[in-house]
Amino acid sequence: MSVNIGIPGMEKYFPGLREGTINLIVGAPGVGKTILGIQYLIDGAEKNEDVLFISLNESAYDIKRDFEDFTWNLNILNVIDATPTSKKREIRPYREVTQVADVIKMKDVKDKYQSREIDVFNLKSTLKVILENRKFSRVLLDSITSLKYFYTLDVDPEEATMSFLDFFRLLENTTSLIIAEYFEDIENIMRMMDSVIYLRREGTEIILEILKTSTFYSRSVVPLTLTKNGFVINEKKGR
Amino acid sequence: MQVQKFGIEALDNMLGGGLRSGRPYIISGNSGTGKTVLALRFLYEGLKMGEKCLYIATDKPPHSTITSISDSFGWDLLSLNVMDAVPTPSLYSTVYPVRDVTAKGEIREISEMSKNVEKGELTMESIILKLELEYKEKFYHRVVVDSFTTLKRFGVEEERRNPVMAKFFRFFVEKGSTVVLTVEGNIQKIRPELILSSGAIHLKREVQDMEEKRKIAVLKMRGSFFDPIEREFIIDKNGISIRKVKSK
Repeated sequence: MSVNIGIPGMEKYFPGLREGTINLIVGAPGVGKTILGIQYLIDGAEKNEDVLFISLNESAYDIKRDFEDFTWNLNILNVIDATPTSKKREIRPYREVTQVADVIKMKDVKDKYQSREIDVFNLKSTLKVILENRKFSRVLLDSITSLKYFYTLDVDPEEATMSFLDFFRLLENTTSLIIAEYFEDIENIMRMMDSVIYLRREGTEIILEILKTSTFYSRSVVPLTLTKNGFVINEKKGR
Repeated sequence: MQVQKFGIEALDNMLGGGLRSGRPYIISGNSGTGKTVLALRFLYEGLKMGEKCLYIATDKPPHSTITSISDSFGWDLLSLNVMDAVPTPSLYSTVYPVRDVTAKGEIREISEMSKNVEKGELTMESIILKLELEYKEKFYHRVVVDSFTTLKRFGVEEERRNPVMAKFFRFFVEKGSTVVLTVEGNIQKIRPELILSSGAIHLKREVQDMEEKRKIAVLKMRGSFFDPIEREFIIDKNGISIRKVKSK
């Protein structure tokens, strides 16, 4: 079974993500990775799937504001706001085991920022509790680069990131999409991925390139245009 | 969506209207590309709109920067509040470990600013503490940190650098201020800042055939259908002007 990434007509170039696998979107800041990720979740939510957005880059409140200009109904998404706090780090002799974040419906997101100290360990244990009790068909993590840079104090960032992702690989019926900013930071995690989607900018156009997929080897290059309905294929230049 | 403009029409258009209020932004580029001028243009525009604006200086004492910019462009920056966060010489000589001391960086009106202000050793975390107190008394609509790169270099130990940077960016988001941080160095060196920011403007200065060319591009702008095309710009007595893109 393959899971559509949500771009209309994309099946011609790319059959989709394999159910139950982890997959990567990589591309420079500002290219539209979060938009494509949300498009993937919306596609599932509109088919009445239970989908989850784990946001490390921007608070749920800010995400909601960011997508005001789109035609999508973001309120149907579930979100875990795992953005950091500016509050001073507490001195803890042991690793926190309590849940540091909760799943909420985007429609219930109010003008409030969470204030709990989150790191790679307590986020992982929190996700474990949540995902063992509730099955999501699609999960989006934004982003693994953020996790590696900002959530790995006192630990080896590389190892911590790998073990964090390992957890997603064990989720049997969940198709995960992981966002990463830079190739240099993902050398070790590329291998874990079932497929890798590379987004880049050429002038005003966004180019989507399938770098890796398990279903068949292809190097599909698809030019996209960003609209208020999300990314659509620029058919005039389609190859 | 509420936006805050630079007051440079072409740039505001490139950004999709302006900066979205309450978010962190970076202006990146090498030394001499015009980051400080652009950042202060942003504050000047805020003052004109009657907003509270704060300039946090870490490279040069704010007094000299503000005076020279006011004189060059005729911008009235007198109602600007400034924080002198220039590292002390002792901090330069004993870079690591940075001592976590209480912030002594003073915030004051530029009009009452003297050239020699006593200050302590400023760290990224002590500046957050200092600002926390300041925000109890007043809200700032626009804040500029010039340069964030110096603060990053001297204001936090290397092994804690990225997480503390995340806290620093986050502070302004929690307060609801729009903050512009100037950042030096090539794209590889400023990756964490690029990720933490909601948007990025990149400045370049090139010399071709004895002619100086300045270029500006929006690299990233969350929540906006921005225009990524690079444009030429000039800095003269009228401030910053962006040239139209030549049609192909």
